Amino acid sequence: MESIIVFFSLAFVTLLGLVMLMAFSRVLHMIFSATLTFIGLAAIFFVLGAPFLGVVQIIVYVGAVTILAVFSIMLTRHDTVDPTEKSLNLKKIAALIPPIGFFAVMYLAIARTPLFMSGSPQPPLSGKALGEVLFSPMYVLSFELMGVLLLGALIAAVFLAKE
Amino acid sequence: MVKKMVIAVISPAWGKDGMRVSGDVSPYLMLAALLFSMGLYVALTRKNAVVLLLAVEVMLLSSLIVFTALYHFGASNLGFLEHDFPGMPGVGAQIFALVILAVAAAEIAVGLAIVIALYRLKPDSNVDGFRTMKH
Repeated sequence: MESIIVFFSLAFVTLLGLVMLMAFSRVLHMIFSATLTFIGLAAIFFVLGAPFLGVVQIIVYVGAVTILAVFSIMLTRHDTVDPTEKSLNLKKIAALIPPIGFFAVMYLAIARTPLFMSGSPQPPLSGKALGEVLFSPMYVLSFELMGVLLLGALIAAVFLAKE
Repeated sequence: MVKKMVIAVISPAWGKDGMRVSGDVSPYLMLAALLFSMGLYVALTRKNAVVLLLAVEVMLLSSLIVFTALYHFGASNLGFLEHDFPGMPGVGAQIFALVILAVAAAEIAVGLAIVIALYRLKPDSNVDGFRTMKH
């Protein structure tokens, strides 16, 4: 019973952020409602036994990405209002088809696949254990590639954004 | 009664005999699919470049729910990521999730830099205004 309550409150917070993102028309408000979604996702990671991932999610998304997005709004146009029309037109109705189709397919696929796990849920994976696995010979190459990718992204972002 | 109906919606294959939600992955997978679909809808309807990037981020992050849920509920039972670390079944799912998080962060950094660079070419953050690569 507790797991149902926890699941529904976290799902409510996460989806509320996206619903607010759809409802608002000012871009700054949209960014902060996306932040609510990111916080809800971090809480879901904590519940699902990935505390390191949750902390990284809060640092990177709630901290860095939100500030970066707000900065790029402030650097481009101050009080931007998204030009999307409020009224329901043909374009908006047509845009409903791919998401609903995707969700219908996924719903049927998930509902028909027997995924119930008989064992007890896994204990949370500590940061220490995750680090030991990440630096083991099995995964160290992916860690190095991640570092190279982030360095490349850093250089590319500085190069693109400079005068 | 209400509980049974809710369970029947979020995990239809097992709703009939009731209460086995504690070990059930499918509500989390449904949540991930719903987040992905809503992110897709926002990405299709909004026109501001920054909001588009955020919607794509939400779509990417919804996949992390799948990875962590499969770790938590015993991914090794599914034969998911067979090369497990000794003593820690399914830990590869968390490594994958971490890599996806880093890739998504790199993507949004470059994306926002491109938004700023484009704004310098043409003072407009509406993606419909950029129809060609040259200005």
